[in-house]
Amino acid sequence: MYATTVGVLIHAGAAGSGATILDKITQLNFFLAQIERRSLRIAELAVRQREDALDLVQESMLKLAEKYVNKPAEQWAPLFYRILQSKIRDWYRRQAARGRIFGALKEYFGDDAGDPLHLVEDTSPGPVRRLEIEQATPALAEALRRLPLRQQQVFLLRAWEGLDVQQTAIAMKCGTGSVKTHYHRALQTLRELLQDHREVCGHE
Amino acid sequence: MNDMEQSEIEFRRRVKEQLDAGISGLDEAALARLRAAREQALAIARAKQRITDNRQPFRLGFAMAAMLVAVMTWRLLPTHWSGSPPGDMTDDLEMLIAEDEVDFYADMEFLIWLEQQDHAS
Repeated sequence: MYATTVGVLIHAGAAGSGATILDKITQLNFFLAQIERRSLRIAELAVRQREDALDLVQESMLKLAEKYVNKPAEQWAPLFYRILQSKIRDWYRRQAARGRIFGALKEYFGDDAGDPLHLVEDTSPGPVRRLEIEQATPALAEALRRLPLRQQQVFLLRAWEGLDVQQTAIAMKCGTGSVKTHYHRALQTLRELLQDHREVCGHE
Repeated sequence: MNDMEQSEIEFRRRVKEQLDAGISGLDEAALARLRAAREQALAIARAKQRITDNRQPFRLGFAMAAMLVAVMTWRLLPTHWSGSPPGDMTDDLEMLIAEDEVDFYADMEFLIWLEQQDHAS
C-alpha cells in the first residue's frame, strides 16, 4: 500500500548527503502520515480506550524514529507494528497488575473503601465520540472486539494494513504458521458473526 | 481462482471499506495529537540523522588509517624484518595509530610516495 509510494520516493531521491537526509525525513513523514489513523484504530480496538491508544501510537512513532530511521523505508511498517504490538502487550500487563493491586486493596479495606478506580481520570471516549464510532461500523467493530486479541490484531494487520504473512509475523513476534492460523480463525469467526450484515458480507 | 477465494477477497474488500470509513471521521483533537506525535518523531529522526552524518568523516578516517597501517606494514616488513619487529617500525606504527588527525590519514598517496622516497635514498 504505502510501500510502493515510499519506494518511488526513495528512487526519486537526489544525490548528496543533505538531499539524502531530507529524503529520509520526507519518507518518514509520509510513512507516518499514511499509517497514523489506521494504527490508532488498531490500537483502539485492542485497548478500547482512545487516550491510551493515542499514547501507544505516539510512543511507537517516537521509538521508530529513534531506533529505526536508518533502516530501509520498506521495513518500517513491520517494525512500527512490532513496536506497537509490544506496547499493547505492556499495556495489558500494566492493566493486569493494576487490577491485582486494586483487588488486593479492596480485599484489605473492604467494599466500604469504595472503588479506587473512581479516583483515576476517565479517559474513555466521550458519548459523542462513542456514538460516532458505533454509527460508522457498529457490527464490524463489535465483531472485531469479540475476537481474541491476537486473532484481531493479525486480521487487522493482514486485511486492513496490507502486511503480508512474513511482515505480520515480524510485527506479531510469532511464526508465519501462527499468522495463517490466527488469520483464518479470525476470518471464519467474523464471517459467522457478520452473516446477517449485508454491508460487510455482501449477501443479497 | 475458486469461489471460496473470490468470496474471501470480497469479504476483505468490504471489511477494509468499512474500516476506512470508520477512520475518515476522526475528530480534530485526535488528528491534532497524531500530527503532534508525528512532528515529535520527525524531530528525533532529524537529530538522529545529523549525528549519523557527523560520524561519517570519522568512520572514513578510521577506515583509511587502517588501510594505511596495512599498506605500511606490508611494505616495511620484507625489507626490515629480522625475526622480531624493529623498535623504530613499532614506534612508527604506534604513532600512526595514535594520530587523530583525519586529514593526515586522508593524504595516503602522499605518505606512500614519501616512504618510497625514503627507501630510494
